[in-house]
Amino acid sequence: MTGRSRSAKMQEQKDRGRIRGNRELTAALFLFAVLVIGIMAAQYRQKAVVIELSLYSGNSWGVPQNFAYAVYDRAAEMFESAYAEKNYHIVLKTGKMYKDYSEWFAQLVLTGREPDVFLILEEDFNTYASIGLLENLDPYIAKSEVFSAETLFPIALEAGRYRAKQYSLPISMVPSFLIVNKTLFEELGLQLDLENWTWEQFYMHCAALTADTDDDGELDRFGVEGYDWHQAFYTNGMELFDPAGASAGFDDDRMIEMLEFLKKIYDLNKGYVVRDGDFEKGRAGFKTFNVSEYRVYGSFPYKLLRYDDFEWEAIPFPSGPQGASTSKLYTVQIGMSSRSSHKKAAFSFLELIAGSDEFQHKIWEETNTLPVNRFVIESLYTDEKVQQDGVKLLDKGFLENILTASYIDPDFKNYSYIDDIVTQRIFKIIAQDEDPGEGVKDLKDDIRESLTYIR
Amino acid sequence: MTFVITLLTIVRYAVLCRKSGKVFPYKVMNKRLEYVYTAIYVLNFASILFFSLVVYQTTMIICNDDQARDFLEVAKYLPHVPWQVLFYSIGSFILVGVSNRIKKTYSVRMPAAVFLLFLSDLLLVIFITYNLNFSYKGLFLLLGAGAFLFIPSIVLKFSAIALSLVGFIFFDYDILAVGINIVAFQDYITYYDPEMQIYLYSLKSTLDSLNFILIVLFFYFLIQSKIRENKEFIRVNNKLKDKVEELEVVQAKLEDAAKMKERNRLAHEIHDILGHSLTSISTGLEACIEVSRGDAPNLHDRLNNIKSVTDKGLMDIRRSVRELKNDAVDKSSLLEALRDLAADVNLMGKTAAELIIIGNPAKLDDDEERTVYRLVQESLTNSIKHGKAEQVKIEIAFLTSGMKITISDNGKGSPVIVKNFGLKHIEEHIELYGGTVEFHTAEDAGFVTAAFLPLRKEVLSD
Repeated sequence: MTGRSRSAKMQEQKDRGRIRGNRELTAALFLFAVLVIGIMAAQYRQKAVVIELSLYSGNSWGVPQNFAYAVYDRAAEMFESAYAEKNYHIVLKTGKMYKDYSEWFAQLVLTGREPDVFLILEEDFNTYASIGLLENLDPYIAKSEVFSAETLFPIALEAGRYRAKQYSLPISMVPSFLIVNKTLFEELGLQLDLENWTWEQFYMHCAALTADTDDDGELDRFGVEGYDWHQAFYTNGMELFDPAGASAGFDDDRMIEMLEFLKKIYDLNKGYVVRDGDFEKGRAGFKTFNVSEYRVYGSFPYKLLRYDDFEWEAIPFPSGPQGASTSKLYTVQIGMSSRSSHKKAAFSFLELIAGSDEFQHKIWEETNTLPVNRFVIESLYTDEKVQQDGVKLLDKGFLENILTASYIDPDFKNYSYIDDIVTQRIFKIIAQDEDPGEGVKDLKDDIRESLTYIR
Repeated sequence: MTFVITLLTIVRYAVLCRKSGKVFPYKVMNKRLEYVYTAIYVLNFASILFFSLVVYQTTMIICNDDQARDFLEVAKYLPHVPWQVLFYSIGSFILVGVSNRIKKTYSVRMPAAVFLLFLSDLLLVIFITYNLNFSYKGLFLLLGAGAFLFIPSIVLKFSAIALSLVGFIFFDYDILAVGINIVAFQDYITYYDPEMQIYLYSLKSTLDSLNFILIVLFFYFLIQSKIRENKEFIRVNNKLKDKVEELEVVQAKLEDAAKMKERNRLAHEIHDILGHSLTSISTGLEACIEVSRGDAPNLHDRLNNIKSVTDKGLMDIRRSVRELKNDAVDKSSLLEALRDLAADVNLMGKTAAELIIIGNPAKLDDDEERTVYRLVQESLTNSIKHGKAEQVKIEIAFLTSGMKITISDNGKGSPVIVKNFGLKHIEEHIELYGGTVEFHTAEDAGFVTAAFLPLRKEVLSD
């Protein structure tokens, strides 16, 4: 054997040794990795699942709520005891007022720290659904054995839908309506004909109510407090956008009708602005109202604070010539993050909060809103305890009617932005006495421009 | 096209190298390329850092300004989590760097594994690009350049390059924004005031441009290196061809030498044995002639006859031996041989031969020398035998371009030129070397043979 071939053979042996060494090292690393993953998985199983829930105090309908978080504490307790074996825990993130919640929450989203489940402001819902922050709940609902969407009021559920997908579930709801000062009506000898409750009649009453009672040259009694274009718009059978959300969806004639009607109402006041509290002081015949206010001020002890000097009653909004009575339904919506790492547990919580009869009862007991579960609401009318508490319940038929006929804001991203533009434009048409026909054209242009800008 | 051919040649060369057991000079060749590639890697690192830091920092500023809600409205889609952008993209890019090191080490040894690594790199790069909102796609160029550097198999190499290019074309914000919900990087930049925007946009396009410049430089060096490799290949090939030719010449010379040696041996043996015997016989015969003188006139005459036959034989043998030696061109030079030839003619007494040499004698090739010698020899023979010449002039002139040989006699000449076999043969040989032969004669006007043999380049340059 030559020297060269001997050294080649040695090199070969060395190489073989190195390869064997490499293989052993790889095997060792692999085993180590499997071990680490195994330990981590075991620990993960044992670890408690902590679900964060962010809340705000205050609401969109502007009625204060005592112990705003109390009902969520109940929810957390019920959830934790129901899922004790799974070691689920709820951590509440509180402390933000309604007006600050949107920005605070957006910052959490932007920095990737949003909680697993959270309350969603009405003005944020469309944005969060469209950018993909909200998890589509349809697959979870379909799989759920305890939750059924049929138990909820459809319109409350509809408020959590975006492009035919359910992104949030309602917790509670607040329907709105009109209230009328019955005492004042009696004094003035006015008669309400609810069978024929139209804009015309409404305007006639407003005209009759508007007066300068102390003859100081300034109006001091008005027709209605808090009535704006939204109520008129929806009661004249219109939609703000076409179904695709690409342009204004309303009929010009109906819009002109509405503008003329609003102008008439506005003209009655001769430029005087009806202030918050005029109705309370007996200086207005009608006021837009909601269930929350009704529950607070309609029953003891808050009844003493407001609206106690006269008799008042809830009535629907008057219908326009081409529409029917309808009113806005406020809802409290809860959704879950599409980036949550505990989606299953998070949905279990949503399931409980929207679907559990027991918790929905708590909504009635601990907040001044209405539960979204229709069976829970029905049970209230037969519950002796509720009757004994002296709680003023709305007439069942009336409540059912307004709930069935209520509307929710369009499921359209940037809706609130366009809503502002429409509000300003309509105010301009009315206050500056523009021609309604021209005004509608301008309004449509504005909406189209805004939509283009948004896109 | 040229590029592809160059590349194919290189691969062929590499295969040849591997077959012949030589080490393909991969590392040395690609040193400069590797430097440029490293520069591209570092630049891409800086770009990733720039993009992810802008996302991170802008998010922090937006939160600080309480503009988060408005930003989400403008952004249209759910933005990436800033720290994740930073962590994931830098982390993934470091993994690409590690993969490059592994690919470099195993490039030639395990091409399939290297290609698999390339695929994992592709996924990493897509992931990084996704994290950077598809606003930076220079990473695909880095991958493409890497494919040239690390993947030796031509099929895998071009598959990798095709994949990189597809990535470069399609992982673009403007194309993907139609189908995938991604926040535009622009949305982050437009958050700033116009002055800052200009600054950020300039930085972004500077990084983009630098990447392109480096990529162009990389391919420039790549093509350069391939061309150099190709030239080297051709040079080595030519050298090999020259060596083979030299070998053939040496082989021919060796054969000639062997032939010459054999002839010499033969000549010596004839000279020594046969020559010696004939000389002894001749001497013996001379003694016999002396003894037989007068006694037996018959025997005396016969012995005289035998003696003259023997002497003639001896002369023939000597001539043959000389010719054998001459044929072997065992001469220290052509001129010496020609002098001998002339001297031999002069010795015979009937004809006078004169050799004239003009110019600076040059060393000729053996074959050429032999041809010239044969030409002179054949011409002399003809002059003496057929021309019955009394005087023959041999003139050898060494010119700058070649050699002029003129053999002229004062013999009886000939009205027509009849070329014998020897003459024809010589004529062919001279033409083979690019030379010419002319014959001039007339009745009673002597015979002139004029030849020209061009000198070879080596001789000229000597």
